[in-house]
Amino acid sequence: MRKLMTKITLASTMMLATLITPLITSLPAWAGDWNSLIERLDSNRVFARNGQIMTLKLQSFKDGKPNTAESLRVYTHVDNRQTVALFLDTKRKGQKMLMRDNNFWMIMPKSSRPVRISAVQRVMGEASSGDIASLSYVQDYTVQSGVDKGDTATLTLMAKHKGVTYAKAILVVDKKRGIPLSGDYYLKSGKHSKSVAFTYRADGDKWRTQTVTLTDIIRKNRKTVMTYSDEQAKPLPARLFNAKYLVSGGKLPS
Amino acid sequence: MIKHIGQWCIVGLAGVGFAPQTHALENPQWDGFITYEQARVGNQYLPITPNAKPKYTTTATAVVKYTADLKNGGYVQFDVQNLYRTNRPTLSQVNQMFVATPHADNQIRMGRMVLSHGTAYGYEPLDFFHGQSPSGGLFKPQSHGVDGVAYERYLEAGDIRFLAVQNRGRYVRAMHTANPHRNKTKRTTVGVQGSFLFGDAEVFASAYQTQIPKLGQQNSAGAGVSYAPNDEAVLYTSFMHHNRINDYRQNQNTPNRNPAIRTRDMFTYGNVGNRTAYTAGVNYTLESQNLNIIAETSQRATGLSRAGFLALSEPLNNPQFGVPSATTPLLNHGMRRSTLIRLSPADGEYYPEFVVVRPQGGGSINRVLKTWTFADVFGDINGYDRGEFKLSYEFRNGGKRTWVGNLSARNTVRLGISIPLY
Repeated sequence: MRKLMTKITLASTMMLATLITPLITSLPAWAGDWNSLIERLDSNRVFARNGQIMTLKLQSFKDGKPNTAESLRVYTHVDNRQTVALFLDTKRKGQKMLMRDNNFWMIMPKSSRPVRISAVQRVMGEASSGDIASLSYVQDYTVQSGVDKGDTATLTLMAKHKGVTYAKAILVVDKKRGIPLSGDYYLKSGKHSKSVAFTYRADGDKWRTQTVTLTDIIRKNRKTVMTYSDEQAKPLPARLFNAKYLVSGGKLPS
Repeated sequence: MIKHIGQWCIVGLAGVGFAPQTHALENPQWDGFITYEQARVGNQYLPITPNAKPKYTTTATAVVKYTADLKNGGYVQFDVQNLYRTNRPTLSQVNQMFVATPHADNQIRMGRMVLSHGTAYGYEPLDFFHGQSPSGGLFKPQSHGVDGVAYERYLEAGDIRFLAVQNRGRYVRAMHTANPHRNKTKRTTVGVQGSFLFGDAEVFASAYQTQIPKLGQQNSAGAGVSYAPNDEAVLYTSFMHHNRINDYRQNQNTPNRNPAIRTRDMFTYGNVGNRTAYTAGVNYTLESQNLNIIAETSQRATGLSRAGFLALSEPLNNPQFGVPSATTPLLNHGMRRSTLIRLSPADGEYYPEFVVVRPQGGGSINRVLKTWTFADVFGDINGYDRGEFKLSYEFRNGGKRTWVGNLSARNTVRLGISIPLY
């Protein structure tokens, strides 16, 4: 009798396993695993970890009217958390902003000494240094909580370390495509600083960020649109991310 | 001066030719601009010209920069400028002309180059070849090159630079630039500079040994640190100690030709022996107010040189040279300590800025500067968007117990235009 019961139990278990396994594997990878979801967010933002170059156009608006514009060439070594942004036009041509980990410097063309700036010091309009330089959610944030809303999910992200520009970010994420659609950024003080909205373009099986719109919550009449283009993958040597090299006239790849 | 420029053109070209297979230049990039400024300077210093009328000065500057790649991965760069000033000699200068050969994370540079160090906004003691003026900072010209060779090694979290250079004393403001004889001497300096990033702290260190003809040897060493305790603030401090020159001789050739202006430091300013320079400051951003504040206090190894004082008091007159044209007191070498506060927007525009400098002993220099690009004024103008108008107002008030005390209150208004050449 005991042998029969054992056989029945084993058979039931196998049948159950046979039935459940396809169900489990057919579930999206994000279900209940918010960390893997933000890794997917990164994979759509990062296309070459040891060196990616892109052009970034910043257009700020005040009361709905275009205010100032700036173009930058942004060089990023994602693994080392290093970024250089070169200003391309208007009166700031030749200025460079360097980010290493959570530290920022401005390098002015008429000065041979880099000046260290704070993380919240803005590059232009509502775009702070961190908005330009940060690419990886995984490196900067941990998921505090997530709310599943069908096709989308709302993730609450908390900064892993103090140098991250925003202490808290709430992102509405498209689960299927693995991209953030909109969000809200909060300062360490808890103050709601900016709201953000993203648009994308398809690139093979990836979705590349096309625009990021930052709307100032404190000064509600202002917003800045960041438009990405001309992406390249190119290994970037360490010297490009050294302030001394940059002030000595060292050239960046075109 | 022409001879001097020619000399360095030859050196630069020789440097280019020296590297085999590198004489073909690729990706040449020209850059430059012309600046014209008109200033109305109010009352001059009282002891000399008690009832001076307002003075009008004109300054025109042309700057040309050139960079090109070499076939072996290196690059060449030169940077020349020409300055016209009312009632003063026209000044031509080669700031930089060097050949650089970067390879992986190493680089060797030969020729005339700008070598700077440290990160302070205003006066930086570690910036051995520059940096006497405490009011410059982001837009302060640090374009005075020194001649020699530098080996630079870029580390994962820092860099180290070994240098052997010869420099004219007039540009070594970390030492004594007041003595006209010493100004003309060429000094040979060997040194090492390093900076390293440890978490949120960047640490600097440097050491130099300088041979000064007929005077002997001066040793200098210093260190500094900048630290970001949070997202809003950056704290920084640094110091440099200079030892006594072995063969110090008292300066008898005082530049002061006016006996009305004599002070206790008149006969000692040439001596920099055993003095320490320091600076300490904070850069704080109030994001909700869109305001960036820099506050800094500093003490130089010596008092300001004449050029240093000019750069302090009128850096806007000719920011490329740092040698403005307006009249200045003949003696100001005792002014060692000063504090600076700068207010500006935090949205990356940097202007308008308001700067207050409080020199040692009293008095103050207050400056407001606003710029407009051509695009701001006329809309988009293809190729000339970088052009700008600038308007500044400066109010200088001399304290009675300071070198600046020789000055009355003075108002200066400047209107300038800058046009890009390329």
